[in-house]
Amino acid sequence: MTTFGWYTDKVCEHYQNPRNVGQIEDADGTGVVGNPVCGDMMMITIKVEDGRIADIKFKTFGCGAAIATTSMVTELVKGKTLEEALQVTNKDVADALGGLPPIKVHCSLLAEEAIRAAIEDYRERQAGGGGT
Amino acid sequence: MEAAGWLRKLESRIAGVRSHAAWQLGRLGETGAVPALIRLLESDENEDVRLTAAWALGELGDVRAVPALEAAGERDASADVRSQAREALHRLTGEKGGE
Repeated sequence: MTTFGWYTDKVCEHYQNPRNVGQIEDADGTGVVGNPVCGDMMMITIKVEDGRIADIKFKTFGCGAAIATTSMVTELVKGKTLEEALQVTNKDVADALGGLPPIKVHCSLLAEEAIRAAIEDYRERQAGGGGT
Repeated sequence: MEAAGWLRKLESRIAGVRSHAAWQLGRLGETGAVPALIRLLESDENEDVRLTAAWALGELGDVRAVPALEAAGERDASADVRSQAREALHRLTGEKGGE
């Protein structure tokens, strides 16, 4: 595996072999956060069964750390209940990756926001408020 | 999603969702979003949201945004937001702002 300076092996591994890449076409919830003006944009789609995240996929337009953090957050929340998934923080994501350079901590924050946005969208749809 | 949906997303509790919605409204040319974008530029706690609101206001080209962009270009706590606000003001008025 190619290593990239101050990134951990785990970050490099998730960047080069990201998990759960793609988009669920009939998703129950979609979260999109960020934009090209700020740098990174992430989309997470989820399928929810019996209150658990049965399937999850992501697309990230951004740097290697943004791809690795989104990949890791999908791994951390897959199979969890929605409440459990909402407890996953950006620090959990960064810790699971063996740490992030300080300048890339915002990537883990955006990844946390992406899953929270997908769950929020799911709940809005369930409440009949429409969705993305 | 239509403009009304993105306008609702500007009220999200999640900063990344607000910044994404601001970007979409700028891309769509939704001038109905100008008052809401000005509010975000003036008072959102998140730097990325203020930065994207400034960008979107520059895209929309509505002179109602000039005072807020001038103020942000001079006084926002973030250098990135100040820079983006000045750039947006330049696009909006055609006058190049200084540091």
